[in-house]
Amino acid sequence: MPKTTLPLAVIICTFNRAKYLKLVLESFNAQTVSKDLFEIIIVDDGSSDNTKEVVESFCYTRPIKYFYQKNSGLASAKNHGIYAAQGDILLFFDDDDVATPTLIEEHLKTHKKYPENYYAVLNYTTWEPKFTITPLMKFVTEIGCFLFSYPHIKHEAILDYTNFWGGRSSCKRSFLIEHGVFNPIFRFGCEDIELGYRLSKWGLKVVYNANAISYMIRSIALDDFCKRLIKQGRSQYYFSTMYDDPQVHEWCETIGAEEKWNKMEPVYEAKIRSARALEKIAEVKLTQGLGLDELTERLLYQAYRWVFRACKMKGIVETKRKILHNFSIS
Amino acid sequence: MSVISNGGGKQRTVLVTGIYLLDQENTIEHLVEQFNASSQWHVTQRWASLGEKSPSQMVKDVTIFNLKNGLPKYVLLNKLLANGSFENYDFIIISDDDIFLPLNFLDNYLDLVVKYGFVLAQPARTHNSYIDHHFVRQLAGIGARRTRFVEIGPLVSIHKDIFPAILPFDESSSMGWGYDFVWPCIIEKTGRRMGIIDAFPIDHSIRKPVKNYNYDDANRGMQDYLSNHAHLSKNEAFKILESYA
Repeated sequence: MPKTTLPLAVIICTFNRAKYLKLVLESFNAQTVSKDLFEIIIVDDGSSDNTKEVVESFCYTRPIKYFYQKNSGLASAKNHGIYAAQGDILLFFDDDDVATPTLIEEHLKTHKKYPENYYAVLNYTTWEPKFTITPLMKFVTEIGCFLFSYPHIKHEAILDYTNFWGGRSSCKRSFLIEHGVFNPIFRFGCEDIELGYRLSKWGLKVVYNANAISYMIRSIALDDFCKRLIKQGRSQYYFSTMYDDPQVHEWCETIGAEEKWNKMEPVYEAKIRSARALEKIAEVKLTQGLGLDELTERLLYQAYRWVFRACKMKGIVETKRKILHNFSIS
Repeated sequence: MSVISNGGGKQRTVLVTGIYLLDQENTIEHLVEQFNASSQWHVTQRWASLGEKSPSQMVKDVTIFNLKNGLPKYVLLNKLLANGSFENYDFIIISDDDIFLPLNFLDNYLDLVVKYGFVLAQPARTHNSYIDHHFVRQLAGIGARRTRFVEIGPLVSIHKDIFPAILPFDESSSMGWGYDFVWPCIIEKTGRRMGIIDAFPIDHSIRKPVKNYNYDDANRGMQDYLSNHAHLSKNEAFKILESYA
């Protein structure tokens, strides 16, 4: 007979990130709340590295539930985790973040204060303190807001579904069971906000707890971030086609995407080369101890902003064209 | 993993039973053909029909009786089961009449049911299907999962090891609503396993459910039934205990 429920389940979906997983799991072994109060569920989305071995090596420190699935994308993996969870509260946690010791304590505290089913909790994420923050890392979080970004959010603010950010949010399991889980069409990106949109019809509210903190332990590079944003654009296109809601289309940035991309496409590659070159200049200045002057910083940020917007448009428009092409030949 | 008894070398037998609606869009021709196509199981089909139209000879050959006016589903199913014995079949499959099965469904499906020892099981539903519970939608990346919930329809398989526990069907919920929250309590007491087969999902998209009977009556029946039987809540039932990729 299955065990009775626990207060909280941490759901970590992972794909070929074994090198970070050890640190992630260590951080959950250092929580202020007792290990008996939460479970850890790893959903391995078809990793080909030694993810399973890393998880097994931790099982002597605490029970970990490990589920393997053939690679099917983040939404499917999260659903797998939801259904496998005994916890009343589900904390969706990224496989390249670590938890500060009070993370779970703070999530539980907020849920206790806001016990209604429809309240979710968003925690604060920032870069691992030991990192040297590169201009790119600063830009994507604080300036361009392309990654976790909190300047506009106050502690204990009650936010809408657009803040139901995967990898750093918790919610009541029963709310999902009653009203819906992630749409498996989303292999990467938008799975959180699309579910949040559906749950908003049932009253979803997101409470921000600035004292619940996690750190991202994986640095980012320009080309990888571009690929990420193209995938994001693809998901945004899918999301936008699901609902005839102007608010959704605005969030998905699909309004006028075709026209924007048509203007951007001819110079896209050149702009990326330009961004790389500016990055190189910035890197040389910083490693020489010269600091980043205002002009270089401004030009670099302009380049990033252009390139990243273009990547999203590329993802949106190429996906739209592919689908329309497939539809016309079928 | 506990093994379900598998015939011990003797011919493996399945009884497929269900009700088809002659005057509604249905897939009965497809279903009879698909179930007959099994190469690994000796299949007996025992159907009842409701309505006026006449089916093909192939379907008539497996139709036990026809009713012009309906009776509640599980009252009818009990009549079908009582028409001849059922105790000696290895599996009983209860099937609705409005689903599409993938090719070689029965052999492939029961292969995994036997492999994972599910005394009660269902195939998952395709993503385009009408769905009451998202839990039964096909979960990508896995072939099957051991669960605390198996839905009563549109297709469910019952192994002979639990015939005494759940058959004949309890007619106090004559449309079967609520069975799926009561069965886990019965089956888990016996230490048995139940689950969902994701590898061979079925398509339940041609006819919207609850179209052909009164929703309020069925719901009231379910509430009465649940109040008299140990049962799980949705949050308790929609659980994966193990999954198999």
